Amino acid sequence: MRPLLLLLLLPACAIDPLYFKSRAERRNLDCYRLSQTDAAERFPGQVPPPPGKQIAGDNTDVLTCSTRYVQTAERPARDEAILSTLTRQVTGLTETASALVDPGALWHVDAFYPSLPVAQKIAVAARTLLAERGLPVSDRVPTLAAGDVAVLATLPQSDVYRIACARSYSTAVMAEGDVFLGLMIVDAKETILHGGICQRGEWRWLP
Amino acid sequence: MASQLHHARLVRVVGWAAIAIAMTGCVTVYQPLVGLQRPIAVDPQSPNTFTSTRVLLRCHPAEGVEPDVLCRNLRSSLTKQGATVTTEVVRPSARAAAATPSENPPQYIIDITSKLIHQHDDPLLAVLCAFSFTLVPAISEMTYGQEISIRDAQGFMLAQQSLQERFVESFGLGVWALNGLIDLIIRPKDEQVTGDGYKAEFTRDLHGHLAQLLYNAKVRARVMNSFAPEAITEKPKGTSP
Amino acid sequence: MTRALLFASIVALASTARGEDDVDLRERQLDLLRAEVGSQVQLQAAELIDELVYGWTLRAPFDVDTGVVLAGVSVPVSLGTGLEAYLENHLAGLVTRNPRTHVQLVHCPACSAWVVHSGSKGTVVTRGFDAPEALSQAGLSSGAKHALFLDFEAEGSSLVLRARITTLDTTLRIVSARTLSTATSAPAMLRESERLTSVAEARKEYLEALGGRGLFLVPVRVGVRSYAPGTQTQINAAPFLWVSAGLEAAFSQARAWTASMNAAFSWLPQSHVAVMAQGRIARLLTGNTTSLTWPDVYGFVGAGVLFGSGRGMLIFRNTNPTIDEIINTSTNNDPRATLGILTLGLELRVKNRISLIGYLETLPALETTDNIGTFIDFGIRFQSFGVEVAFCF
Repeated sequence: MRPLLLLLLLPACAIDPLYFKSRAERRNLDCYRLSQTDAAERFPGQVPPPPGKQIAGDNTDVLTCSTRYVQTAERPARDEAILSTLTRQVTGLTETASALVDPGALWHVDAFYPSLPVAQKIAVAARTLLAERGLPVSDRVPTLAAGDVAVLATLPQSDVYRIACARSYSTAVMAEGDVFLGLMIVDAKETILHGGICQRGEWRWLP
Repeated sequence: MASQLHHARLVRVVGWAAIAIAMTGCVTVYQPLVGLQRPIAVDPQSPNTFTSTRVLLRCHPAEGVEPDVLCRNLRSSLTKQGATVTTEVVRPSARAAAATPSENPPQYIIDITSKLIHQHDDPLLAVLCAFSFTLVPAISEMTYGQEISIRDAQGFMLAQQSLQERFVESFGLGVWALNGLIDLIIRPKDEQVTGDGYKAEFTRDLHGHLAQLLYNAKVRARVMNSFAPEAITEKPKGTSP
Repeated sequence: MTRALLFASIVALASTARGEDDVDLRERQLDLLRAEVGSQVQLQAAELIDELVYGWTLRAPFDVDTGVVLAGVSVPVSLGTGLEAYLENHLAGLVTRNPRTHVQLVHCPACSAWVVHSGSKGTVVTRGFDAPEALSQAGLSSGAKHALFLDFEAEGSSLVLRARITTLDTTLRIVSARTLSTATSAPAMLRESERLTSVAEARKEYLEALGGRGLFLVPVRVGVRSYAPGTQTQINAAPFLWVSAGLEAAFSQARAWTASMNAAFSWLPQSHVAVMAQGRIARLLTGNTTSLTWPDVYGFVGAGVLFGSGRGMLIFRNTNPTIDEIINTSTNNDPRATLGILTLGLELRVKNRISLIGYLETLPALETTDNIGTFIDFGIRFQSFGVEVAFCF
């Protein structure tokens, strides 16, 4: 009987830590695979370096997991989906935008998103990225008059940005050398950002 | 007498082994690795999400995954959400079929490749499993990855995503019985690890993310076309030409 | 029957309780996760500010000492605002201790307050730093010409800091911007504010701290071995108190496998004097590398030779001791015994400095004797049980 009991202890050596994690914990990890050599370099106190004979033909990999800072259910799904990929999305949009505009233009950035805190995060991300690229960026957001805003709120998506852009230049809210980058969502159920630039009174969606 | 005792002992051992193997089950744990744990905004259960949307779903074969089964499952999911789906399993050895003009060409082309990225079976545990009549579990770990891209009819890339997931499967009486007991007494229903709950969870994630990706692609196409309404070329049923 | 009823009632109670507490259980799980990550957010956010200020010491945003208003610190959406005050203080401390940055924080309460400004174009409600001309008109300007904004956001498992310095005039031009990020899997470097170093240098110090552990240790152990009472003898072996010292070597910095040799000495007046030489091989059971923050558990096997003399050694032989032998007082004829020992045990070690060891031993030469009993029989008779405390130098 005793050898049997001893044998039952052996599986303890092989149990994956996943079994001790709840479903919420498993889903709150970002994981990716690294070779053991790379993992030992990045996490020296946690991953031992592979034996010398293994390095040349290293086929052992390590699963590296990081806990997400904000758990999945903490923020609304769309906000979380956009904020999780904020840097990647905004980088792509700002790269495309900066390629389409003359180098000397002064940039203004704003975001149009149902949640104001998230809109501010999107705008700040874009401003910082453009400024890091060496482009002249202003923190000031061009603001139309209250009456114009009231009229624009009644227009469909297809027209609002185009008309707002034209109005900004016609009322001298934006100068000739200025360019405005707008970041927004167009549909309530999408999780990607769109961008458009307003330059010399003309609105153009970013590809 | 000695041979009779030996025979009786052998029968007893074989009997217990058969009972152990018969009662043995698998315990599989699913872990989303890349992308699948991100939340989605669309409801994949809604039947109207992709009404009037025509989709060509192309499944590319890769190691460890049957593309036919993948295409079938995803087609069923998109059809339930209102899309009209045609599927194509791309065989690398087959010659490209000549393009035939279609009455209702697809508006979106989804290319999906699902493959086995990593697999690990512990041979020592497998041996111990056999010798212990599955009291010691045999454990295998598999990581799969999906590459999904969505283009419009002209080939313009609208959306792209990579997904990865991991399954840890333990086979053995000991681990199955112990987890069955814990599932019965402690774990809530959606946390249970015995049974096929992992399949349902993974299917929900994969189908949900595909639906979200297609939705994003649709909106992107609308923006790129300056919000022009999608052309309806499908003839209503029952009308004369 | 009683046990079956008890088990059934426990299952029934547990099932009922489980149904009612599913939501509570999930909430508790989320709370635990929040607590675990909350402290990490604080550390990692401070780490990002350290890196930002360190970057300023290398390449200052201004050529001369310049007054800058800390206009705002925003934390990740859905996290509380208590973190903001901590980060403001941390930044202020760093900037004060690193004058090479040429950044001098200036106090401007009106800058972050709401300002209502009426003009020919209408009435505008905004924060002070968004309308610096209004502040200067009202005489509320601090005189600072620049404002610093820090924005933190949690993007999956990365914490991202976006820092920008803008001018405090009508143009609000961004003069300096930096994006920094870190992940929960990367440990915070915990750099000293008076001596900021780069991440590479801090990491090098961390590696040196790891490497400084060395591959060799000198364990000094104090322990007790007790022997199971025999069935056929009227005397039993007294517990042996041992003191040992030796050398332990690890095969790698991970210390997953170690081997040790030690020499031990035991003495009890009028009972015995014994020496022992023992070797052990140990394997780390709690992972593939020792932890800097958690105790480690090793399993080991060992073999040794014990040589002892004295009345206390009478029990360590295959024949029963006689009365004459027990009462023999001659010091020239002390009974002697030489034994082989096989050991199986567990060691709980903390920071490679102190450990608690428990083990079972078998004496193969005394397998058939009844002078010493058995503690546990796994097919091999383990006749001895011991505990030790070890100090590693």
